[in-house]
Amino acid sequence: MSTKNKKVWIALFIVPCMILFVLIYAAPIVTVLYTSLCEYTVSTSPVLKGLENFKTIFQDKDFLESIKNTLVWVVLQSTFHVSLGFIMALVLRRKPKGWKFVRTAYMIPNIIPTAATGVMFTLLLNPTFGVLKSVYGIFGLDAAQIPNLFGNSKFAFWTVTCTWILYSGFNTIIFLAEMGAVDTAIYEAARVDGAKPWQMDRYITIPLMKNIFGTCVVLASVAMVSQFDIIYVTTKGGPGNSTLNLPTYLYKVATLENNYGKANAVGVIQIALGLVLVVFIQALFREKKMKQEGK
Amino acid sequence: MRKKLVSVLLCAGMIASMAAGCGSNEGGNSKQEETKSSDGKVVLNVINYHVGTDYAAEYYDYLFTEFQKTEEGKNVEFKFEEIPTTDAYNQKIKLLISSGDLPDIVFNGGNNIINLAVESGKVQDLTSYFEEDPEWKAQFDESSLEFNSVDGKIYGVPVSKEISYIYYNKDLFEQAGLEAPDVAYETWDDFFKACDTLKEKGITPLGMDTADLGWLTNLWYSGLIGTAGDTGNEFMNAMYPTDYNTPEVEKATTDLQKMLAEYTTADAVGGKYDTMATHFFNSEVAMFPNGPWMIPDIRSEEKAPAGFYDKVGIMLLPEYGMEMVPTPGDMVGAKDPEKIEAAVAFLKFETSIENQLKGLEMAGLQPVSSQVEIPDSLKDSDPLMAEVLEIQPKAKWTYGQNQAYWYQNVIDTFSTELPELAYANITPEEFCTKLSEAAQKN
Amino acid sequence: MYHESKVKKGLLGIPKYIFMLFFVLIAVGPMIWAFLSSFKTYAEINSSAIALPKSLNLQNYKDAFKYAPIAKYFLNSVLIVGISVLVTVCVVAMCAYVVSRFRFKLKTVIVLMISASLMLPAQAISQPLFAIFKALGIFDTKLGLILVYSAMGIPMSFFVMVSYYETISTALEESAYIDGATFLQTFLHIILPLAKPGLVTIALLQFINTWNEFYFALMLTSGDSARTVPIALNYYMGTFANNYSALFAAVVMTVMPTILVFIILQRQVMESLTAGAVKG
Repeated sequence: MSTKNKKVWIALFIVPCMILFVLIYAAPIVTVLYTSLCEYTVSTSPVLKGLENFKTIFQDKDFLESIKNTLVWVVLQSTFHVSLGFIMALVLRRKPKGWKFVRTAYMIPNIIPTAATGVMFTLLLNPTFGVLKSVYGIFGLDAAQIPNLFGNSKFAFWTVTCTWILYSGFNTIIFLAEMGAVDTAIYEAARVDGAKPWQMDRYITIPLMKNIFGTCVVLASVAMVSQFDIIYVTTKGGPGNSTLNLPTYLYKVATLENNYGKANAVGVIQIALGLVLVVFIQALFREKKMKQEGK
Repeated sequence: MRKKLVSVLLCAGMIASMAAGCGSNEGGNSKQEETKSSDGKVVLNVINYHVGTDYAAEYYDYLFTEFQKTEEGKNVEFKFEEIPTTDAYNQKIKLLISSGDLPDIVFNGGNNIINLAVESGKVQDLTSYFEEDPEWKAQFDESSLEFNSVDGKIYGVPVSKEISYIYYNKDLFEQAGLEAPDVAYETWDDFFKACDTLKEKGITPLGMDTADLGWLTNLWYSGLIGTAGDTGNEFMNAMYPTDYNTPEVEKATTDLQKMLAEYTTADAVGGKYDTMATHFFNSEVAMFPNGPWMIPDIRSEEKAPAGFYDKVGIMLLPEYGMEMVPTPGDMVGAKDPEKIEAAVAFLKFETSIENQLKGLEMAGLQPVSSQVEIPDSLKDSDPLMAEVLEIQPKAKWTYGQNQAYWYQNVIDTFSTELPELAYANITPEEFCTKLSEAAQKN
Repeated sequence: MYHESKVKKGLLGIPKYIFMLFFVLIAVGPMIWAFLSSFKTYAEINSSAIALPKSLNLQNYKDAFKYAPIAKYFLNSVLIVGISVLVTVCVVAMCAYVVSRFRFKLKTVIVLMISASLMLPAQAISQPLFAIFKALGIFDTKLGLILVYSAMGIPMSFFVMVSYYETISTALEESAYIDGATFLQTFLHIILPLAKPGLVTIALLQFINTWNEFYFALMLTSGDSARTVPIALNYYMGTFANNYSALFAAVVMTVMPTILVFIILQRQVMESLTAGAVKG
């Protein structure tokens, strides 16, 4: 195939994606970047002001707390959550009894509308009539000691985390697809050589999954940088600022302070943080991959 | 191979045509600027949030239908956009204020929308319509109109008054051997003593919450501040206060901390209104602050047990306090003169004496006009509502509540810091400082 | 010897099943709970989380239809989400392929742009989009939402797909080119069949991400013609007047069909999983 021909095809393959992309994202990206440097509210047009908005947000304790919470969630999600999905995929890969059911069931939480999930968790964890009440009843514990899981800032962060961190069906699906793509001949050969199942996972499956692991980690961190709905419907970032993350903070600045300039400055930080994470994580996994290949 | 290619092309073609079809079907909708419908009627665009399970959905449905039967309304056609919940409604209105056109009639969903709308220049100054119709103007008292004015010009038409007081459970009071006061407890000390007595008998005294802006707790809080002498009362009647570290507010916060820690249910912290209301319906708490719109729920056997209505009594807050604010009024976003006329006509219809009465009956909306005469039949049909109307003039202190008078982000800070206050992770002074800090961000 | 290993295997299997059982419980539990709650009254829902409904009355299901145009919004959701899934999959399948296989000018720019948009806050996008959509006449249309959702899905799907293509060996393509196949032929007949698990995966991801989208569905529409299920759910959450029972009835009615779609799609994945073995 001539290189010229190839170039045409490359262009043709990229163009549809780019058209869609530019239509939806080009103007917003420019607007966000520009207005983050402006004084700009709900009822006034943007006026260029320089780095004013960034100075304000970096002096705000709530903003710094929201960055901290966001990063903690990124770390938890990209380690524990992704690994959970991976382990589930390893288990299901061997097709134990009922694996099809488990695979589908594990995805269900992802399709329940967030508004309903929020209502569900708040009712289930209600300290006067929720699940804990019966648990305490069964063990004969003092009902007055039942923790207020969403209401007390001691627990709120972990409670909110639990509304998503265990639901890793997303990653399981991705890993399963990737595992299915591994040539079965490799496993066959290993089995003939007397490898135990865990050895096959350790020395065949896991190394081959490095690439997709990187992708899952990227997606998980990115999802945490933009996590909003479930926090909004359960705690709105409270109590205090114990569950405040970047998008919740941004939302509050935009809708409660009506300050779009400042909100977009937070947006720029959010985009920057996301980019740094994507680049960093990819570099991390690429390096490992290269080492692997170098061996 | 050709077959595959063809199928891919077919698929792509189908997607394209479906997409195009979806676009063109509704293509006409996007031209919203039309003034007249095909049969020559004036078209009014309205975004209505009184839909779904909203407490006033039926009443607004009634208003729209009836208006079209009147002389002024027979040539009007409504074009509705429905947005359930005021939260979503306010988000959309803000987007429209910032980058679009407001609907012809702008219902007020709170959220300090009037100031934003006026600043953007997208709503009409209605002063001249009030001047031209003195009879209409006379229906409203000065404070209601002032509340809806910016720089001396009236932009909003107040449609009702918001009041709130305490509902109490007669049975629980009896069980505790307490006699409820006729109108109100003389002092907050008496009130707290009563709470102690209830608590000794194993009855949770108060309904409170912190989620969804902490509505109930806010009502207690404004009561505590609003009855704390002239200074406190003034504070609770002022728009957008910025300094919360005053003796009255700090004292009120200390009392509030005690109430959250000792006198309410374990799920009040982090709890939402509905759960708390159910505690009251189930006779699990003795006193519950709220307004007249709760009466239909008290009556409904879906929410409360049968016969509950008869168990409920009403009193003002201690020291004869009652929350009373003019509601933020509806505005006109139309630009075309004919549309403005029609929109104003609707607002006049909405605030007519008959419809204020209708609103009271159907949705518990308190008439904004003192000219509304309450028929005696109400005493028989809804004695609790009649009691509400009777008790109002007995208030010595009236004051606002934070969702009407404070900055949005202060209300939010109030709600998210309440749990910290309840668990004594912060002191009352620190709580007040947080409110002040939030107010100063505006 | 034979016996011993079987016993051992059986023992090892127990923690595995406990593990599976635990996650099935926490995953399906909430849905079963929602199902039970959809028969409860307002008072029952707000006074006990674990009690069973007192009766199996269908009033809440009637209410769900009464308060919100749930059926219409459901059909809208199916159309909008369905088409946007197709569009994203088609567009990303091509773009990611080229990016994973070839070096060309602007490649870094494209990857960076896509990465940046992963994080764009919806709040910030909505205003410029609102203006653009009004100008193009696609405000309040299904097409408008389809375009937004398709674009929204690009970044995530792109990352998954690029990484998936990278696992496919280039040997087959090379031999296809030697045999004289064109670029398009190679893509359609060699690559796409091998990439099927990846494609089904991104379809699922895209489905999940858009099915619950609320903000754009609210901001970029003004009527019933293009509104979706998440907006319908708001109809049950009025101020001082939540109707959680009807909410759960609506959730049950809208989630059940989607679970069916899932089962069908997953069967596809499974087929391709076994087909994957052929791949060299």
